[in-house]
Amino acid sequence: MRRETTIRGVQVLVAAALFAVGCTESIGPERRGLAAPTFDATGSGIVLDQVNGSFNEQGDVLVKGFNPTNPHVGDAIVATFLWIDPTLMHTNIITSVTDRLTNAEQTPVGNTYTLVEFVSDGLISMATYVATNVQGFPDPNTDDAHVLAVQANLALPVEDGGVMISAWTGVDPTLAGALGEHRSASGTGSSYPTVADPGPVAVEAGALAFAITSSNSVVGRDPPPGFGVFVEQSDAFLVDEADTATQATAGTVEPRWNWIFTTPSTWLASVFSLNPAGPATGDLTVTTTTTGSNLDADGYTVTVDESQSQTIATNGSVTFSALAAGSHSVMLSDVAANCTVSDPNPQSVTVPSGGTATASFAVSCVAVAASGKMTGGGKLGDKRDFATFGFEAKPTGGKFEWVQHCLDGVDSGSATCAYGDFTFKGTITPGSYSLVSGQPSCRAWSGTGTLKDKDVPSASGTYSFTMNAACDNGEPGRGRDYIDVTIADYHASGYLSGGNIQLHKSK
Amino acid sequence: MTGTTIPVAVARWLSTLSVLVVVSGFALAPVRSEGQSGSVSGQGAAAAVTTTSGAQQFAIAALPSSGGMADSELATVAVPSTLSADGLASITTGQLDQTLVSATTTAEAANVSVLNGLITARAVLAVATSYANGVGATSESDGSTLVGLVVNGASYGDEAPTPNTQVNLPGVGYVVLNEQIPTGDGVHSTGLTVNMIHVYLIGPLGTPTGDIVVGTAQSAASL
Repeated sequence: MRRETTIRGVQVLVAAALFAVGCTESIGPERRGLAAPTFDATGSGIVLDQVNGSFNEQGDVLVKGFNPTNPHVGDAIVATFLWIDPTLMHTNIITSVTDRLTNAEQTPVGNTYTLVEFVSDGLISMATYVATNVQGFPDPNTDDAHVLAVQANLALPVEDGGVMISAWTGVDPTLAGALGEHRSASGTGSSYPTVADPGPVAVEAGALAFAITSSNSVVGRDPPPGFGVFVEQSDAFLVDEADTATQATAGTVEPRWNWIFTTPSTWLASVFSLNPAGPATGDLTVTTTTTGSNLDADGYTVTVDESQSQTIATNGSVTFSALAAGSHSVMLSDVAANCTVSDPNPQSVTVPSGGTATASFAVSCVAVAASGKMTGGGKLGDKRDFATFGFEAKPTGGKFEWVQHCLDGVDSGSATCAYGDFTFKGTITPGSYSLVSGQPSCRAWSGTGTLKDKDVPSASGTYSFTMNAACDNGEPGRGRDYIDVTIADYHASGYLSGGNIQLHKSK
Repeated sequence: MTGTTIPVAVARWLSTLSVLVVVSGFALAPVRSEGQSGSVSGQGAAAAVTTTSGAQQFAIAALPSSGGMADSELATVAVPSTLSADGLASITTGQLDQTLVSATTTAEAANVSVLNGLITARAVLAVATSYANGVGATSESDGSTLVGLVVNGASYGDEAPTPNTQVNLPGVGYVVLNEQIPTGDGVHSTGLTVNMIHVYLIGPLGTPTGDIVVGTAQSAASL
């Protein structure tokens, strides 16, 4: 038997935005004392994007599209389904809620709709689902064939049902973060006022309180004080109304409608809250790459938006966390005078919400000529792996000798004995004698020399060398003076185990 | 392993007796740089042999009077029945300036055999460092090493013996290990000679007939 199923009307009221949603005609149930909302959706960080609805549906599917305009990707969608219960068993016969496009292929979209509240008195049933951060559909849609539709798939066909769908911008993108307290109730009445009250729920500051009531008696009702009527729709057998409110501060809301029943009737009511998205943040990773001589030993300072700074190594990286998504200024400072930042400084980067932006600075340093001279000799290492050395370094050049001893022979896993015993005699390149940034007692230089390898003769040859740092840290030098030398891929460094490194500032 | 420590005065006398011979040709007195009130010196030899038939020095380095650096190396040495070694090297560096004087000398040899194996060592390294700044003057031998030392069958391991350890060598004389001979007043002048293996050859009548030194480093500074 087919009941009267012609959609008689969908009336959508939005307190400030005046969204018009494909209305055919207003059913115009009698309304009494419509209270002005104290807060509504348009006044909060959560903003209504799209809304639509349908009634007078039959069969095993309840579906409605956001025609003519799709919501925005990232919105939260609230879908409430109302139907005459064919089981009379207070059973939610919805097996799943899905979304798809309205094209001929009914292309699935794939967002997840989670049941928030189901309420039934055995005669009518109402279920509300929420999907957050919806994705996968055209935004905007280019035609009516690519409208996003939300569909409840039913275990049993229904003789009458309807859908109310709304999309909200600014809701927390995760369901766990978005969904606040929720509850439902049902009741009956036959006169005015019959109070429909799902009970109180706690609402966070800035959250959207979403309340909906329905009945199998197509009559009017007084909206809940403190709420604004959001949508109301009906057909010949069912009616529902959604109302919203936004709390400026955290508190409790309890929607209470006064139904204008004149015959024994059933009401259903649900309420829940949607929390706003937190401020969109992301991370920023800054890296530095420094080349050349006399690197800035104490590193640099990187500053974001002239407000927060971190020290960063000459070749390193640091991360600024939880920056507001958007454009930021990143500047590298405390760069030694002999070093130049080759990338734009400051530079602008855009931090994506939930992602990580990167900023890189390339720094090149040139040697800073030093005056005076440095002499040194002694021993580095101990036991059966040690080196003896001597040098005289000055602006015009000098000599450098390094003798590596590996009494246990070649050890390929050792930084110092990979080539066994060898003697290296080098000539310091004039002009390479230079300061070491941030270390006034240290000098650096470079040159070339001849290596004679006793254990690995094939390694003998001419190589360049670099005295990365020779440091006169006190007298005597054992355990105080420091040396760091590289000869080709040989590298040794450490505090002297004997001898002395002496910085001579004047002759 | 046996040994006794000889008094510094004796060591100094012995040094005078021997080193004057062994390292003749070195400028032993600290060099006074022109225009400076102080002096600096450094000299090293990986090995030296003095017998009645003559004196030989190997891998000798002497610091120029103006300071700087000098070095010498020798791949191997072989004095029949007396000394064999390889990897001989000496480096001496130092400088005299207006406020301080410093000098460091290293002298080393490897795979050492003295008197047909009576004394052997895997590695010998003498390090002598001197420093003077007009207020104080110090010398030290830190870094000096005798690795794998065996004297007349007694092993000394990889640690340098206590300075001025004397070991008798019957029929030969005696050896002083890690011989250290300081000089200077400790305030304005200082010097140190380090002989890691110093064999004193004594004739049948008890008279010195020569000596063998492996790893001798000297440094001195005054200001």
